[in-house]
Amino acid sequence: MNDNLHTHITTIVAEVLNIELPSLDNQLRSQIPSWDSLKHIELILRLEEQFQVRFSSREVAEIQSTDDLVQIIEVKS
Amino acid sequence: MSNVLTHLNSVHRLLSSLPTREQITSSTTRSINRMYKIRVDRTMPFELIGNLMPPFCGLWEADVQFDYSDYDASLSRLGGDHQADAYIIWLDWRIYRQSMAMEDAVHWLVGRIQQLREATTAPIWVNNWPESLEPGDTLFGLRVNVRGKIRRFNEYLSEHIEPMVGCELLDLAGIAYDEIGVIYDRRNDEISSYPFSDSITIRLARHLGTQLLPASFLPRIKAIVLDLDDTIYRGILAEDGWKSLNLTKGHYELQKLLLRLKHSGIMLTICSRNEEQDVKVLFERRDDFPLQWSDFALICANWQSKADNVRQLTQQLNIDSAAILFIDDNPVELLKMAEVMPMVKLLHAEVNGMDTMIKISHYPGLYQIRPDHEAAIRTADIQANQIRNSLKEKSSEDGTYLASLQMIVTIHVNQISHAGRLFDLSRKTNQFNLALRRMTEIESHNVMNKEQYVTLTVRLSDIVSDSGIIGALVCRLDGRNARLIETIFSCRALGRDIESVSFACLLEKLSLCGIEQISIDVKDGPRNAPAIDWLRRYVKDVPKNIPLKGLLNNVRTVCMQHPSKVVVIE
Repeated sequence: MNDNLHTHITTIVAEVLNIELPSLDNQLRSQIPSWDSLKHIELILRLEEQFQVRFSSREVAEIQSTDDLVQIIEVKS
Repeated sequence: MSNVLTHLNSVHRLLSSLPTREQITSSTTRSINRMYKIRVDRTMPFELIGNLMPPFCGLWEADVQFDYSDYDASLSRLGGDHQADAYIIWLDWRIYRQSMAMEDAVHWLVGRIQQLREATTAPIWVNNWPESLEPGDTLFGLRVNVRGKIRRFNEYLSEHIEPMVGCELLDLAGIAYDEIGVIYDRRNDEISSYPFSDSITIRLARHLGTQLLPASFLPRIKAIVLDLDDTIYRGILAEDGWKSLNLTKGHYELQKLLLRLKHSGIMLTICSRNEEQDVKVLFERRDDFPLQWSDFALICANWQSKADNVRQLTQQLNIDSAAILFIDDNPVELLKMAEVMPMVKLLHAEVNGMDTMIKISHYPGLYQIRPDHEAAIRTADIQANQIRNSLKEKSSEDGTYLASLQMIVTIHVNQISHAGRLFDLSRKTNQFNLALRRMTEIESHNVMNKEQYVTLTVRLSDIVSDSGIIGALVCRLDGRNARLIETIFSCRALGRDIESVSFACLLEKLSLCGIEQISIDVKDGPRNAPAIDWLRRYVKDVPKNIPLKGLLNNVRTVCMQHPSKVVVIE
């Protein structure tokens, strides 16, 4: 997995969710209370803008962690 | 000065082209000195818009706090605790379309808004619906496409919402019309029932944050001070000559926009390092310029510092420096202005006139919600002040200046058709505003009720011009007591003691109503010393429970010498 990409994405996740992530390790959506469905959309929109990619409805629904985000963006970009 | 540069940079990032989410969220906001609470009653998410609004509001030193309802198509808790500064009714109209005729939905909503109105005088905003949602929609005519139905629905909604005082449409259809890209995002809709694309979301946040909110809560900017060279055309007048100046397409559009702003009531002025004669020739000869010499209320073309010129402009226009937007292509001039006159608002003109035009069109404090019926006469009245000043100089020795003006003061009593003008005066007036009571539209209508109020609106005309309605006194009645809750006069009319003439008329009227005592609301503000000083001429002590008879005699004595003709229209 691309470390730079991972760092970049994690930084954006922290910024959009307005939280400090304890580490760059994989963060699960279920363990971050502020990562609700609306914040999820906001995050997706921010990442799409940043990496010039487009997530499908299915992908958006399947993303449950920062690792999921990194994997999908890595493939798309 | 770094904070000025940071602010100019934020203005550039947020107002030029459509900003990205990254640009919005990374914008540095100035210190916040106003917080507005907005209640959102909704059937679809608003957070995606609301979360983007603070940086836009930060441009005018404001912030917003939202109180969201549950998703509730019946709007059963409309307005929540009714403590908000503004209310948004944010509806996915598709839900209603499925279950009822759209006309019925509008009538139902109007009824709900009327109920909310009983609990608040704050602004209420209701969204309409974008006509074209799907890419390719325009391939199908209005009769075979849902667009036709939506267009008719929007017209019907508009017909019913716009006449409601204090109610505005949150014009999704208009914002979508500006959008070149995709309006509808099926994926967002599937995941969160939020049907709009990211670009429409950003446009909406910007519209609310820089246009609708400041238009509802702040006095509108009164004057734009324009540099000339490389600002409203490409080129340098003194070097290139008037013939060679390039009116690019962008600068043409910029001048057209400035002209529209003038027609909407904002005064245009020039502050340029040029010879005045050269500037005059420029506007005389360049008939391709949409702006002409006569469009400017004042022109300062000289080699003084621009801050000195702007200070002089504020004195001649009789307006506060905070009501001025200064536009210049030279950042050094902007920084110098900020240093000497920190309240003046600043905008950096771009090389491309179109970019400047786009920035102006989103600049907080310029958006206009309702027509300003006095707009057409404002610039002419300011220009007439120059004639008045020369009359004043000529008659300074024999004291006949006021008489030479042949003033006619027309005082209207509880004239409901003047409620809109009262609202404007209440929002815009800073220097002669005794109680600083920024009325809502609904309040300005309520005070025209004859049972509870004596409200005078004052029109002034003289030998030089018709100044329009330039002042108002709003007095609440309570048995044998009255309370003057607001006294406001436009800065254009100051210096002729029309306020005392109007005050005398009010006291006469109250006396006839059997009023025995009057209290006067006064609030110290940063700029309303002229109003407070005026009151002290008649009331030395705390203005509470003043015997009306004595006060009337006092004011009447002063006004007996006033040469105006007073006409009262009941």
